[in-house]
Amino acid sequence: MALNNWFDPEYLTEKSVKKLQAAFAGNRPFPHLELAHFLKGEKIVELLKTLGEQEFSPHRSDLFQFAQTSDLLYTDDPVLKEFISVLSSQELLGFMKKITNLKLNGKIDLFASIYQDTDYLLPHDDQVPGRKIAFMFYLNGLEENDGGTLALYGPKNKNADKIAKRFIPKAGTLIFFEVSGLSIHTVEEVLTDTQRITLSGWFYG
Amino acid sequence: MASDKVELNPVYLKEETKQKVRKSFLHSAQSDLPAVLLKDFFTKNFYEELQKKVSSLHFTKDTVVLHHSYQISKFTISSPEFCEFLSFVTKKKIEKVNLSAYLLTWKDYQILNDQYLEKSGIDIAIDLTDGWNPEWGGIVTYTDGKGTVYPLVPTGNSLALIERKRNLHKYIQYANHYGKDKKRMLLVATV
Repeated sequence: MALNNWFDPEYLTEKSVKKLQAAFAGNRPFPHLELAHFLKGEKIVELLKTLGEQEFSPHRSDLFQFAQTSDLLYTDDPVLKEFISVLSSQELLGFMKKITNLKLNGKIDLFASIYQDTDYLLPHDDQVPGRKIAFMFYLNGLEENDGGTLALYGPKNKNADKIAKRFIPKAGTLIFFEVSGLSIHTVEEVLTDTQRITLSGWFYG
Repeated sequence: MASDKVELNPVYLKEETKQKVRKSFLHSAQSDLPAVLLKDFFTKNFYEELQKKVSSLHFTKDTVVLHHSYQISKFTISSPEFCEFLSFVTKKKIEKVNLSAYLLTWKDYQILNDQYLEKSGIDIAIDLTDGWNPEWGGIVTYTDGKGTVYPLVPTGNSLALIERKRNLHKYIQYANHYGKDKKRMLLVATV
């Protein structure tokens, strides 16, 4: 499975991986990376087109409000099946393992989500047995005043109630972080009549 | 701050009404959400006085990101009339009620968290906000943990009594940007 077909090849070189490895481990408040334009433009178009044919159900609880597909691992859609094959491939797992230094077993989850005006995901740490890396691919971009930013909270017992870092969604960007008791994050409320469309999930180990 | 004098709507002082409310509350014990909601609970004058008293409390911002974010203060009602009414309806001896006063604004919430589980009991919720649109969030909501939710309809000058059994938990829906210039005031206690 050629990662080059889907992702910017500049990120995939040995030299780049070494840089990313250092950046991932050094990033605060907990290990994470933001890879701009990681997903190729033509693949964004393909994914958006195919997601337009998927069913999104409203999800609402004490913790969140947004619309989401069911687990895409069971999809028959050829584009999504190929994307899942790429994410589960030894090549991509090797790439992620090298950067994060985490053991991954090849199991992933994948969902597509749409956040619209007033949708949100309140702070939580994503910890579920086996989850090692949380990831999200942004399929469209938002402006700062649209909300919908991914925000990472400061370390527990220090600045646990303070947002340490924010990421405004940009089309094609991949963000991933190590799941741990420290990985408290939120998706801030969408504030305008827009959509925040992502493909997100977890790598297990 | 405390209030030792309360003026209930005279309707709720009538023996017939009290009996009806008690019957309704006690019978609701078998339903999924054992609760009664009493509208126009206080006299109009006292309700306005109570709103003023509570809004003049010193509220402090309390944030535990994995559980809640709101402004909170304390308020006690020791009025014999109020306590006798509650005692009669709930069949519990109540001599005073120590309430948490909540002031909810944009971005406030309370989520369920195993580390902050509340003991079961009877929740008393006094809604002090007029004209709050449920679409703005900030709604006290009960859930059985199996996906069924029971939002308390926001109604100014109302008193809600909810028997929160072991399997019933409450949270406060995130208050969204449509209510960003508004404040929602609630008094809540568990007896």
